[in-house]
Amino acid sequence: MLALALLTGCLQPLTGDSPGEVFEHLWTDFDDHYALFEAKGLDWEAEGEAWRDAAWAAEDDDALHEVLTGLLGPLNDNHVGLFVPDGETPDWRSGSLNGQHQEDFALEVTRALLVEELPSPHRAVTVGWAAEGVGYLHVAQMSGAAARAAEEALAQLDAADALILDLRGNTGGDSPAARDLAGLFATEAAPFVKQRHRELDGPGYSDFEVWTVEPRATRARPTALLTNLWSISAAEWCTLALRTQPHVTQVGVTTAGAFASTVLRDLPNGWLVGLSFSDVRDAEGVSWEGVGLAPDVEVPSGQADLQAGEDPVLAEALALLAAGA
Amino acid sequence: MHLALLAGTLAAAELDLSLRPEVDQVLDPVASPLPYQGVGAPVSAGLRWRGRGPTWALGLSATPSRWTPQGVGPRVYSFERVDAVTGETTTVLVPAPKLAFSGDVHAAATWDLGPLSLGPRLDWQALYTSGAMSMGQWAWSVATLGLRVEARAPWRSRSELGAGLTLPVGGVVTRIPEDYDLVFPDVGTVGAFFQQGSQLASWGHLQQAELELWHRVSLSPIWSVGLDARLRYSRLVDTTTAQRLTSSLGLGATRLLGV
Repeated sequence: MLALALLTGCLQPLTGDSPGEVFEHLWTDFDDHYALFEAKGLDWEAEGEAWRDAAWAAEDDDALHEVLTGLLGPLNDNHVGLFVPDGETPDWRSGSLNGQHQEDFALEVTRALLVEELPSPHRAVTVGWAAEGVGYLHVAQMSGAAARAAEEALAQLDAADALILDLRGNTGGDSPAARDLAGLFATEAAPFVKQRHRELDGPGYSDFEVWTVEPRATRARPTALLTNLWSISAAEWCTLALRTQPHVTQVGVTTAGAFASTVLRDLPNGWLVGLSFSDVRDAEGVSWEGVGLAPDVEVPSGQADLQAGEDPVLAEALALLAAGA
Repeated sequence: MHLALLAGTLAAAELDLSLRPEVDQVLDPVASPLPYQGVGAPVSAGLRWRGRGPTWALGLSATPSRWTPQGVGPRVYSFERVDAVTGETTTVLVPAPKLAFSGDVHAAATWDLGPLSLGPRLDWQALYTSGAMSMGQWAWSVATLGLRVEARAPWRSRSELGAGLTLPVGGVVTRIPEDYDLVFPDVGTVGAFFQQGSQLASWGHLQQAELELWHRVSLSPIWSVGLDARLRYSRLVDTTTAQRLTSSLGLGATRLLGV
């Protein structure tokens, strides 16, 4: 055991963990791998210069946290966050979600408004009837299992004349699952996303790869797609895919605007930072990063509605579908 | 590795079991600037038998281990949760995951050349964690074809000292791609890992050495026990060079079969 103990710590960190070294590591990591500088029109060199002196002068963790959040703030990217593992410092995000909490949607309130809730094959899927002839499906996460369960659940709604797909509070997951879920409601094959990555040996990018929604719906039923600020990442991929379908209407409020693939990265001092490593556009090449996908029909709601047991977004969707949207 | 023991008295076959503490260290800049260290106890099994010419050996081990970044204490992250209906705020503390899994499989054929045994050896080492390293998925797979050399010598009565060295001449290295992306439209995560992250590697790109030392005592015509130490260093040379150092020290028991 002594021999084993002597062999611990043989591999050394790539860099030191002083505030200045942490700053330089983070800045370089983003310079090498962050994929959205071009889409966001951000001059990373200038951002680094603006904060470098303060980083090297930082004397404690609080000062370093202020510097790093100052550096990352202009990215306006909900996938970029700073996480301090001291069990006290709240998580910080660079985009519109920072300090925000979902106050306009609670699944239990919406479930109580359903005419009938049907058995669900998966805890992330809620299925039922929102009104006579109007099927309701809420998907809480984007995973292969949830997408398969959604297909199974949707089979119970075959008699529906119209459908509601609720992606409020869906914080994302796998992009293939998002494509597969969208396919359950699609009747037309259509490209919906173009994605590219940073080249590893320079500032350039790979070619765009195109993702296409594969139609699996047997007929085009009027469909309301419900979104809010907490429809994030892969949930926004699904939204992009369904916006290609003429029989789908997006209802609610604008999504988070965070489409990129993301990874958490250690910093030399043990903190974690979220980094977006792909550039995701819609089929026309437009980036909605930091902007989000605005609904066709905007319906703001809030905590007062939830406390009253009401869901104005669901109500508006039902009205639209009844009117033949 | 214990399969090399008691070659002079090798019967039809030997079955070997061992349990030993292991310290595994990895530095992969693709995942983290920090070295990670895992402590576990591999369960190993092996079979060795003599054919008409060479002595054949098969072995495998599996290791669940607890991984932490070196120089950083236990990590706990704080997240605020607000009930959408009541507005009540709670703080959720999330400990950083630690579990990782590794496995080794090898097959070798060695010929006796005086006090030495020499021959080719195939090795596959895999390491995977979902959450321990930068709280994300990370994996490492190295499959090699190498040269195995063993030396054995009697020591006192009914015991033996031995040493073995394995040096790969080439192999297939699979790492998380530096652009991290393991999700493509029609390829699963595991398929994408091997499809995107694999490359052929010669000695220039895959520098590895594994040294083993053992002392084995025969307890009876059938059973022997021993103490062994193993040290393996791997260096994958690329735009981001990764290193892994695995060391273990433990006890093993060997049962002669066919006696």
